[in-house]
Amino acid sequence: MTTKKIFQALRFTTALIVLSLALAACGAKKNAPADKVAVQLSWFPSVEFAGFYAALENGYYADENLDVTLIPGGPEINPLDAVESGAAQFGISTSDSLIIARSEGQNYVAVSAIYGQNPLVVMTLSDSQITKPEDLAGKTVGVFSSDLSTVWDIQFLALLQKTNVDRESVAFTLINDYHGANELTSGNMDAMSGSFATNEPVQARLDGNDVSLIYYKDYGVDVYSNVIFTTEELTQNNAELVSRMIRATMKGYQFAVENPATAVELSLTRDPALDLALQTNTMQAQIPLIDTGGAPIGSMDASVWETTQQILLDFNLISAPIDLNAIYTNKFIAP
Amino acid sequence: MTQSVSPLKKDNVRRGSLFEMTSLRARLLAATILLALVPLLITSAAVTYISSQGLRQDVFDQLESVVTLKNIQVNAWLESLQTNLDLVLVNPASLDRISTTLSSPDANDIAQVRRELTEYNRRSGYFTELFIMDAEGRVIVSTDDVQEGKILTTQPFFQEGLKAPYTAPPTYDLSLASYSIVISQPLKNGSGDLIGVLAGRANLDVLSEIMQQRAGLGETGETYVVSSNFAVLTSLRFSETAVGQTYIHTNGATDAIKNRTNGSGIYLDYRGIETVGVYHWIPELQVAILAEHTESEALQAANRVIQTTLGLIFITILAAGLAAFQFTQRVSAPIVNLARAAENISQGNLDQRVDVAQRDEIGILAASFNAMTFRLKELIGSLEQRVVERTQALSTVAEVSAAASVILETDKLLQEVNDLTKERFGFYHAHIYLLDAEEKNLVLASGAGEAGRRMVAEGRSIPLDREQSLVARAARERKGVIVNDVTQAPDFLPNPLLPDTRSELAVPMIVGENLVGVFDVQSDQVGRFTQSDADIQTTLAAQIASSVQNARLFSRAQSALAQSEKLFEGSRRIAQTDDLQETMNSLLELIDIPIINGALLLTHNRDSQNNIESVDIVANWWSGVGDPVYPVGARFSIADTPGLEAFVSPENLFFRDIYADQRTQGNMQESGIRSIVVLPLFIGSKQIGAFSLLGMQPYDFTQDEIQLFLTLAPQIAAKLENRRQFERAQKQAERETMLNAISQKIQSAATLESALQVAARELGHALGGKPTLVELELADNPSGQENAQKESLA
Repeated sequence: MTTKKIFQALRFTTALIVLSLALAACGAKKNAPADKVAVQLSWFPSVEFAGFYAALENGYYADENLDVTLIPGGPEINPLDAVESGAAQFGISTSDSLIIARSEGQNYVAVSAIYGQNPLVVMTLSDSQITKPEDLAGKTVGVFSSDLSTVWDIQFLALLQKTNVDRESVAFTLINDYHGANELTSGNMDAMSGSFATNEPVQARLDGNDVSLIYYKDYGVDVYSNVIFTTEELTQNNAELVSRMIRATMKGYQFAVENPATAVELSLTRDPALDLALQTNTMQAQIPLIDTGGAPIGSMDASVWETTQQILLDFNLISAPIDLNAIYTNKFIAP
Repeated sequence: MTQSVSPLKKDNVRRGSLFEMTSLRARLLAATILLALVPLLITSAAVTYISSQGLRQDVFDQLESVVTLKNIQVNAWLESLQTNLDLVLVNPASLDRISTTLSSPDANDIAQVRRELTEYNRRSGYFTELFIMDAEGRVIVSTDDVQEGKILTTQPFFQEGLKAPYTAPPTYDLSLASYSIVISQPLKNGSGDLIGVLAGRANLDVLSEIMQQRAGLGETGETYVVSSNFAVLTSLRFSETAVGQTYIHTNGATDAIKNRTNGSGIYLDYRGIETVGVYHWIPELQVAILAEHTESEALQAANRVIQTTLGLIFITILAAGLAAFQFTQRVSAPIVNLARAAENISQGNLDQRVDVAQRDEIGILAASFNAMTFRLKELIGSLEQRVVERTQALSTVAEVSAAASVILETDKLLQEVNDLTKERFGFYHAHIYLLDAEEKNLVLASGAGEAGRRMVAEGRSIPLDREQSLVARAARERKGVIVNDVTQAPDFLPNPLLPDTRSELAVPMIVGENLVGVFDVQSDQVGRFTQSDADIQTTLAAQIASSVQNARLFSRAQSALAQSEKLFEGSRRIAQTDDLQETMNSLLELIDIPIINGALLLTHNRDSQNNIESVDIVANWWSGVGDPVYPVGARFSIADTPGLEAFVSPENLFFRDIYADQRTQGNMQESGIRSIVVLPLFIGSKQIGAFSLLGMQPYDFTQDEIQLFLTLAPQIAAKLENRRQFERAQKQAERETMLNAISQKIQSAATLESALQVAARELGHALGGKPTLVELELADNPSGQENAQKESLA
């Protein structure tokens, strides 16, 4: 066979392959139109949701044949209701909310935790010498509600309880100014409970305040503050869709932690009013929360769920334990 | 139709390949370079491949050993951490105190244990923090008192540490804001009850130190650790990014982390630079150790081999190219020269010479080529010369032919031809033989110059069948015969009259189908004649032959005319005179054949049986030369005269030479007569005599002459008969007159007696004086008259 004939044969084969690939691609697209998926976020647009933005903008959803709509949240929006109503297939909530919901008969399933650790901290000014929960005894601590009924207040109470700090030794006061460490610098209080490591301390430091943080999770208050959940029905009947959704989203978060600057840019396109410096520092602060170094991004730990439930039981927010094996799963998280 | 067209089409479509079309030089060059390069390239490729593969393997081996070394170092570090943690509990007093503190925490005990731990850790220096957790995961004592009180129940190092010594993979601690490794082990009191977990926290500085100890990896080599989340845990050599904040997804890191495996490869490193890498997965730490070496440096040696080889190849290619160019030039230049010369020659430049000094085949070819060109030029030159010569020769032929054509007399014509040919062609001699009437002999008719005339006078002739004769051969074969060196010819007969003859050319003279003769030219040069000369002379000969034919026809016409005149004149003369003698004279004057010196007119006398008994000469003629002829009135008896038979022959006889003639049976020899013509004379069927001409020399009577004789013979016969009749009538008259006189005398006799006497006397007188007897018969007797009649006739 001559060289020419080999080339001709090759050319023909190549043409066949290209043709068949093109046909296959066409066929795939024609056979499966993109699945429409809506996600009800838990708060206003911010870098916290950068993974979603990245997955959308970088085409990870499209690669999974998903047509994803991100619905911003707000104080008046309950993601559980949105998913319940079917307005969204996925929502973002907290581990304790999900347990309470399940105890009330709403069977949601957590499929991923955006933050692998509890971001709640007690923020103090470094000068205050308050380094441990026990140091709070005799101090004034800012809280979210006067009856200490919010999830954040309960977690603070749990913290006090676990560290054997008598809640009566602590003077509670309502936080009125959520901006940075304003309430601390004003002298209104010695410590602010329920701060997000990714929010108030970041702002405080941007404001030039030297603050110290007492992480709830260091004292056994292990709660997931932003888990991605969906209905039990969807995880059972369309696990493949959930898998694609979570795979693409986690890929987005992996992108975000590896490219924090781009993640911030993407967030700013969602809401141009966002502060670049704050978002940038928030991003830096949340990287260790997202990627803890030990486990894959998004994966959850049974002990956290147990801890959460125990807290809820201890504070009578639920009357009986629920089946923790049903409320979360790591099966959609790639190892 | 199409079948017959398609091969043509094929030929048209078919084209030479590029290789075929390029010049000899280019092809030679390409072939030579290919010859040199193919083995070179194969060898170098093989050597390069083998050595670079070897060197490449060396690089991998080196990296592998580095990684292994680092792995060992890391493991050793981890072991020493574990050992150091063990040593915390070696002191039973300390263990007791710890047990007590855990069972009932007391500020003083805690402080005491903390001091001991701090002191211990200060000495060993392996941990950044040593701490003890109770069985619920609460930190009871820590060398960092801020950490005391923390509840680490969910931490793996606690949960695993309860069971067995454990090394927690590096994790980021939010409150410490750093990555750290925690080593933990169960804490048991003196009685062996599990009372908590002892843990030591180590930061990653040691890991970084281990990684940064270079192990001969050159300027670009480095080792580093990547966590299972792809975050780099030790400082990077070429990146400022802090530990834990840089993610590395190189092929090496991905393979090691995803597949929990060891491996190696060439891939782009975290800077995007091609790198040779070897990596190990360390399961204890859930991290990967990577050793990488920028390919350009790592494979420097290998690349140097390739570069050196490439350089050598390049130099070799240059050298080979130069050598090939030189070689090709040397080989092809003469051929190109030759080709150019050939092209020049093909365009008509015969002065072209090829300068080739080589002594090889090309040199020989060039020399042959030069020789060929020289010969070609010479040939063309001589061809031109020959054309000139030939043109001249042909114009000479034309000239000679023109000169010859106006001459109607054969002898003159031939003489002119010979003389002109000899002169104009510069021959030594030229002569012409003509075929005789019998077509048996070639008779020399004319020759150039004095020698020619002498030979003609000698009456030379050559029998047509003479084998050895050049002239006869040319006549027989009817084509030109050349002998270019007569002295070498075996059958050459030297001619004393032509002593200098060296080469000879004889060409036949042919008109139509008829051979007329042979034209023979001779040269005093050896090798004078060529086929070309033969052709030219053959042309000339043909024209001469034609001219001879013409001349002959002319002369025949002339003689025919003369013949008619002669016949007329002869007839007139025969008629003019009654006298036979006179007739003879005038006839012979008319015949005018020089060699005829005598003539006779004979009558026959017959006996009673009508046989010719004798002949009488009734008229003669003598030229006055030679022997006189027999006189008139002479009678020759056949019986008595030998050779007389010829004169009574009923046939016409022409003797060229009676000496040599069979028919005379030698009878006529010594008569002095050589040539004879005998013409029998007839009146009706009666032969009455003969007319004969006698010559002193042998003579070939021409047809015209013979014709003349044959025409005149009947007239002569008639004349002779007339003459005889006349003479007889005259004699009759005389007799009757005499008889009348006798009668009168007898009548005048008185007596019978006297009458008889008178009669006898008178009769005797009248009849020739013979005794006369007279018988008298008185009766009228017819028989007596008859007798008398008879008498008178006698």
